[in-house]
Amino acid sequence: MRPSLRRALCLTATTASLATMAGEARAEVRVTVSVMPPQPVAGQPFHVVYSLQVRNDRMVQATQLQFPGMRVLANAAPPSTANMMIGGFGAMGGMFSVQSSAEYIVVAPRAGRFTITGIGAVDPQTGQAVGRSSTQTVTVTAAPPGGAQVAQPAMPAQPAMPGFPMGFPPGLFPPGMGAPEPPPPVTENDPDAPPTGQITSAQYDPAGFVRVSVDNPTPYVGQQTTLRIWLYVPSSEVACDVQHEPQLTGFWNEQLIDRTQVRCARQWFRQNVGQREMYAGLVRKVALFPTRAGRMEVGAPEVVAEYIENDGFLGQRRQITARGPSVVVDVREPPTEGRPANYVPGLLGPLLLSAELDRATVATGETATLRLRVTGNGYLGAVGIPAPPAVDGIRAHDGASHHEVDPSDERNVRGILTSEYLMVPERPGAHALGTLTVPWFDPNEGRYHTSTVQLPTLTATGPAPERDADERREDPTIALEPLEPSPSLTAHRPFFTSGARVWGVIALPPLSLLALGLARSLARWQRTRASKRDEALRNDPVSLSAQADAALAAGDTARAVDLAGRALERAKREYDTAAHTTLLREATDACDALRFGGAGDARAAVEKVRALVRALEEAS
Amino acid sequence: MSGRAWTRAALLAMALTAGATASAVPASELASRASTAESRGDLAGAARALEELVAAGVDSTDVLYNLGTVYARSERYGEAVWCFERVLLRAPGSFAARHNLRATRVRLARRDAARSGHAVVETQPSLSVQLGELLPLRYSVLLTVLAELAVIALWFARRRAHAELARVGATAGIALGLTVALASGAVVYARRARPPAAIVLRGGLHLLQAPRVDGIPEGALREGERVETLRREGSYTRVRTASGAAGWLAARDVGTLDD
Repeated sequence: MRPSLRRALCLTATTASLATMAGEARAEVRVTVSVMPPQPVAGQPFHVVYSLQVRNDRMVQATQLQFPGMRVLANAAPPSTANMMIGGFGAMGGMFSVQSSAEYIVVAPRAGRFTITGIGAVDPQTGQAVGRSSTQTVTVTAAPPGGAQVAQPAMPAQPAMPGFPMGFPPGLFPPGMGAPEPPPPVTENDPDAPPTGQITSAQYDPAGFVRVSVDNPTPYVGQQTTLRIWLYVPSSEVACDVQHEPQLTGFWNEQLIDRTQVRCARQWFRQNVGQREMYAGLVRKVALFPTRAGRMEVGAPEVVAEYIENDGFLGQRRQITARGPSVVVDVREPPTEGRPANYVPGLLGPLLLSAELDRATVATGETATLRLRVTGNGYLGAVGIPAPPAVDGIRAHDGASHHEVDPSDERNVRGILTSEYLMVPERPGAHALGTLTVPWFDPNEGRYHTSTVQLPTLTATGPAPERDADERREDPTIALEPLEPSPSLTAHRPFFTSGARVWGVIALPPLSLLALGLARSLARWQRTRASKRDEALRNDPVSLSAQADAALAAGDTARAVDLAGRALERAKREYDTAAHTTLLREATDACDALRFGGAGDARAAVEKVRALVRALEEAS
Repeated sequence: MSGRAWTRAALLAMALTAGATASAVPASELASRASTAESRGDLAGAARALEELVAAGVDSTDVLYNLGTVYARSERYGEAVWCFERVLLRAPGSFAARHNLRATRVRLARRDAARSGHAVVETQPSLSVQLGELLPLRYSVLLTVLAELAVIALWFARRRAHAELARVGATAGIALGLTVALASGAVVYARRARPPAAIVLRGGLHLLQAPRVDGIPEGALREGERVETLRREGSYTRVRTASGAAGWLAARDVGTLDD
């Protein structure tokens, strides 16, 4: 006999029960509230088991319990025959009955009398009360003096059996009947079972820990990877709650465990961890769909659990807070090789396409709705699909879009996207809407495929609506001006395509002016320089003597004498005459004789000057 | 260049032009096709013909105006706004384009309001944008150059003037010319200093954090919204919105506004 069942049979219980005949014939409903232990101690948690027993297979929902003045540590959904149906031969005359129960863990802050209210049952379909009970009184005793450790109250009969979240009410298993089997050991082929072998993705703690795993750590963008979180505790009697959900930034996610229907864990497994038998409960199972490529992290969850330690007759209640590790997912981008141009990232197949028109025939100008339905893997609503092709003579407008998720196959969550387009034929006749081809990526094969659907044909009847009438109906404030009837068919050739061109053109006049000024200055300077050079050339002794020769040849003796005299004077200034004193004296005398005496041979004087200048020039 | 050389150049240009258009549909044919399609209500056909014209390089303001109007009637408002904005950049005096741009923006806002319950109408761009688009760029440059030439001419005239009144008049003219040159130069600077503007052509777009197909979406963009293009990388353009948000966008979804 299991210890929990043995405890249930040995313990005393204060029970308030109600049996009532419901409005329907032969339907019998019993609502039971049990307090364990019967006289709880102030400050010590105690259990309240809320049981519902229905005979004759009727759907009944228990009402929510209220614990005024008490603190509820572990709350529960009220029992319901829809939640948990366990057939058996109970205490109702051996007839087939349906039973369900829920367990609350409550603590009273002080000694005294407290009441539990809200005990009853209703028909979930009509909301009509089918059973009601008076309030249940709980007498809480004071804690023993000296603060000594009070022996923990024993568990109620069959509380919180892993795998049976609602627990089993007392009396459900009468003496002689077998208790539920313990959770199964981990098997290799159960995807929800924790991986066997070395404990990974967890920080081992013999008191309890959390293990996190993703089944595909390297998915493609949009490909499902399933996150599973297990709570490991060394006891089969446990209540728990996920305090901090894992951070799922960068993923679309779909919860695969209905949190409103499952207390603590959905499924339990036995596993030997560190030579110790522990119980692993699947507390979370989430389908993740990465929205981008790269290294992404699933944040650490935190679970608070309370369990019966040592699983004996006087087992101690223990509360732990366990934090799981974060998990890294390395998301891959679908390959670029062979990727179709209109591929929408995240669109994974196989895709099933269908298209339908709500009306195959409409009057010209009226609207028909084209409904495209796509079924594929993952979140199609976040991905989207290409729009149908444009058709001449059909005006298309975007319509509503609806997205559903089908998690029935937890390994392969499917998305169903329904997009509507409003098609308005502008001309009468049959308009084939063409085909829609959607490329998708197969992560298993690692290559792209396409799915194609033939869109239906829309037939428009009746004449096209007059455009003039449409124009008249148009709001005049937003009426468009008509088209240019004879547009200029020239190409626009912009010149100012770069900053250099713009600023170059703007700078052209001042730069031209500057250049003009510079040119004028340069010309003036050159003229001055040439003038000076000419002057210098004119006063050069060699030049002067040559000029004197020319003047003599021209018969201008006076000028020739004057130039020869100037040549002589310049030669004296410019050359060193010490080595040619004889020539200098002869030339000077000849010139003086002509200039001051008025007698002499002018040609000879000029010759002497020229000889002197040549000699001086050669000497220099 | 002698008269014979001019004749040769003209003949060569004609031969090249004929060769270039020999294999394509003539521009006049496309224009006629667009006009016919528009008149019988085939807006998609009219848009296709006008798009072919523009793709062939025939992108005069008239063609862009017609294309914008066809887009607006086809409810392709982002592309219509782009066309009208380009027309107005080149020809600010085009009242028809200005009217249709305003009507398009209002239609777009009404459609957005009907779909999502709210809409934004861009009625007046910022002061710097207005200053930069006061005149087309080529007109601004031309005005600046003319003002500069006037200042130079007046300066020479002032030097040669003997009468006092003439000197005073020339001085005033120089001051006025300098003012005009500086103002039009400022317009040119305002135009050149800003990053090139662009129009968001389609609705439902988001700025991306990275220039990749799987870039993380950051902020939503409105169809017809004016943005600044910062740089281009592959087939993506980095843009900045009027609110200061910057991100990447597929280049095909952005229409650049050029002169």
